Amino acid sequence: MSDHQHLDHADSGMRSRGVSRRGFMRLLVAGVGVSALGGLLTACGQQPAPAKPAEPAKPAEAAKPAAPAAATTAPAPAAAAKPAEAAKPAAEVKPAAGGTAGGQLSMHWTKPVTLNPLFSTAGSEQGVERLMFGALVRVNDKLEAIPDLAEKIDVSPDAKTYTFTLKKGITFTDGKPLTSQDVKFTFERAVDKRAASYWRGRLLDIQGATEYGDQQAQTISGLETPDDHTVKMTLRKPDSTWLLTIGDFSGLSILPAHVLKDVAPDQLQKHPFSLNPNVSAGAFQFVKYETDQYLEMKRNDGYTGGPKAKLDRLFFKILAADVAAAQMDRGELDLMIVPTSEMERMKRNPNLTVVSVPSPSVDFLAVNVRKEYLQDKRVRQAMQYAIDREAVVKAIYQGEAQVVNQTIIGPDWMGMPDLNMYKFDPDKARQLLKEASWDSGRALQVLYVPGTKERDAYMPIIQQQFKDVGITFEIIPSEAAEATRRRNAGEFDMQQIGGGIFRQDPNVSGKYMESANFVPVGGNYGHYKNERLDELFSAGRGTTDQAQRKKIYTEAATIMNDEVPWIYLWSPNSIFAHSKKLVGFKAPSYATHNMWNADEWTVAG
Amino acid sequence: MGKYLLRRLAISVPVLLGITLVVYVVISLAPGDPVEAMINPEQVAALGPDFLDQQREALGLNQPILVRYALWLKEVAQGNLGFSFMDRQSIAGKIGERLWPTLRLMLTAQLIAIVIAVPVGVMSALKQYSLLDYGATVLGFAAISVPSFFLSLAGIYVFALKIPILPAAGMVTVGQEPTLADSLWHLVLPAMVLGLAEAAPLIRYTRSSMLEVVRQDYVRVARAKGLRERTVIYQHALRNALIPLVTVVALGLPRLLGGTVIVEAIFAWPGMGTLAITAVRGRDYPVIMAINLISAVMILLSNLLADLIYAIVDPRIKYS
Repeated sequence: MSDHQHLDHADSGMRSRGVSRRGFMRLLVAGVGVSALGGLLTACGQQPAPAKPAEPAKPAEAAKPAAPAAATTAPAPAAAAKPAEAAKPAAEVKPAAGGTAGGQLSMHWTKPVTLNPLFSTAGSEQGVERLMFGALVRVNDKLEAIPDLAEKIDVSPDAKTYTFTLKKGITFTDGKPLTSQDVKFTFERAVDKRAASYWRGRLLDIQGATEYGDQQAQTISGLETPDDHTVKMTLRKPDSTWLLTIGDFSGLSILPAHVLKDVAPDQLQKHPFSLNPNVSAGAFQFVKYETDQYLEMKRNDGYTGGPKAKLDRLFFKILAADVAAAQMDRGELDLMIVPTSEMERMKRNPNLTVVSVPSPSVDFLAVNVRKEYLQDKRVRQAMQYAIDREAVVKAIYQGEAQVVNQTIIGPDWMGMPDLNMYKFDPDKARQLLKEASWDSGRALQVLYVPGTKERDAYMPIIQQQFKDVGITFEIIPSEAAEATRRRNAGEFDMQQIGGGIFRQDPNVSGKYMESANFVPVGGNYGHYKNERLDELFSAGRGTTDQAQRKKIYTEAATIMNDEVPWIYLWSPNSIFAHSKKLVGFKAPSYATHNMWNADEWTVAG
Repeated sequence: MGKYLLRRLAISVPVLLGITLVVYVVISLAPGDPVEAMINPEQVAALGPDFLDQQREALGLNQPILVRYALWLKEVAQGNLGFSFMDRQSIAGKIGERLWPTLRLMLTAQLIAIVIAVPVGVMSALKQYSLLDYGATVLGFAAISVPSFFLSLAGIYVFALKIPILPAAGMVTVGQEPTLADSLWHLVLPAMVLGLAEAAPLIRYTRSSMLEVVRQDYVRVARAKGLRERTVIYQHALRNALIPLVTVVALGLPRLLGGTVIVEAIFAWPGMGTLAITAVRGRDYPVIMAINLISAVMILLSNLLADLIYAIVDPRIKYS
């Protein structure tokens, strides 16, 4: 799931806190040989470091507020239509003051499952793939789409046809040219059912992709390559957010067809390339991956897709967070995502810089509205009033989070509509519960995957505050796999979840709120259904007119705010620490994008 | 003796089958589904509703547990451990690349444990109720009681941060040509942490075994013969006192391959423990089974080994 980290249920990477007895028993049950005990929580293979969310849309702060609206060729959300301008940040950032080219830096990293972009589901994997591979479009630190391998992108006014012109003279690291045929190959494998790529679902809106993917067609009819440098995509229905779809995460990285075209689609993930991606077309190139230890990359000196990278080498070290913090102190590590609890300590180290920025993610309690006792919106509103969110943000996040009251919280042209703030009001909560004839004897079952410091701290607080107004809930600590199973089977009342890239585009909320997206088919955890919302999200995708979209999504936000399909909590900030040696770091709103501009970095000195 | 060995090996086969069957059934019945564990709901949306079922079918999960077990057994009998559900890589390969790091760490730790435990245990016994005895007892209990993650982090704090003489984690210095000295330097801290924890029980075993032996008649006879105290202790007492220790050490052998999850995780050591825990959390049945199989074989073999060594070091024991 390329979006995996967007929904990590709190089970982030490794934690060095030993074994709870329960965890221990579970392991025994699961049958690991007696020898391999210990309860460490390695996320099941894909966990990113705490995918920090946050949203506060301080409207002014970001790049370009609402400006470019109606430009016919420009799909609203993306800076994409004008590649030249979008590419500009590169020039601005410059090797910042004092930086010199060359040298090497080390990053904190999480163990990968695969390094093949078609199969990567964790942000940590996508972050390094982004540096090694080229993609048509990528997202920048503000989560806007920017062209990468494409020199020009033409969008039809109805947002159904996208024409990409590739930059000339781009080669793979083995010297072979990268052409539209490689793009075609990558998209074909991505939608091929047999390959089972996580990209498939996102790309089925290309005309004929489903038929090709099911082997009922020889080609994808909506994907044409008139010449070596042109790729034309035709969509089944208008989608003004299409560039974000193919540019998200590390973007759909273009694979070398000449290396992989003879590999059967169902063998693709097994192919050695998956852990040894040594032919690619990015600013950096793969050197080696030492299993469970580190990944090494060097500058791609033959890179012609843009300015060459400045650093000689990058190392990505797989470390537990506590140990990574120690290595930051020792100067053995140059960049990591920091837990809130470590922030103050790191700020005191004169060799480190700590940066905190709003993240696009949100923590929330999903509500299973299939249970009739949770169908009355007054019950859900009462829960919303019952939690003193401001206090939790202050005490547990040290202020590094912002309370949210629905999930349409960005980007800048959208802003966060001003709606009911659900200020902490236990009396109001009690009154609403009374009106809804809430049975205070009922105990709600709340699924929770423990293991993230902040969440472990706030869950009991919420439990207590609910109890104060007469709602009893039972926290059911589960492993991620079991929580997912119960959630998909509907065997729960509520679930604590955090993640998502809500700040990127208002349409993202649709993935969680539209009735077409019920779990397990989509991200609508509680099977919430509201016909008006369905209409609005669909209408929002159907137009590129920003003003129009803003109006549509403001209505959607109002409904979500009033209906409370989820109990909204807050959006924690992304917090990074980097050594003063690292020059040119620009904090991205999405934490695992923290290497998004590594090609511009230099070493101080 | 040969006959005895054959019989023991023959008995091992049904035991092994039993172990694998029970483990297979139990992990398959454990809550959680490997396919769902791998996939994010947002993604499944894109993959189409039948994707999950297709994945399950591709992994053979749609068949009854016993059929799956039989198929697994058939492959294993042919020497094929299969592929990981999670990344579709060969399990033999995955285990192969983690075996040496694990052995390197665990053997060093074991060695450290023995080197510390035997002399300390012997001294403790000879000078029973002395300051040294109490000291060793207290430290031993402390080493057993303090969880290894704490010891690890404390070690890092002291020897990597406050007195920076050792690396905080890793098996080699990243970005340098690997050298023996560099590897050893990285080995010190994790091996010491594990070795200390391991040494504590060994000290206790050595001590009590020694206490028992020095009261035996033959030791008194040796003394009565006028042998030097040193000869009495080392030639007569210690050799016999070590017999139970052989068993303890031999029975600990399977752990050498199993690795240690916590210490590996903290020190970023790419070993078997990490592999095992990742597999369990992802419900990666084939990997779990492979690791189990290895553990089971190791345990059976080391039990056998312990018995055989016993016969060698203690001539009173005879197998037939």
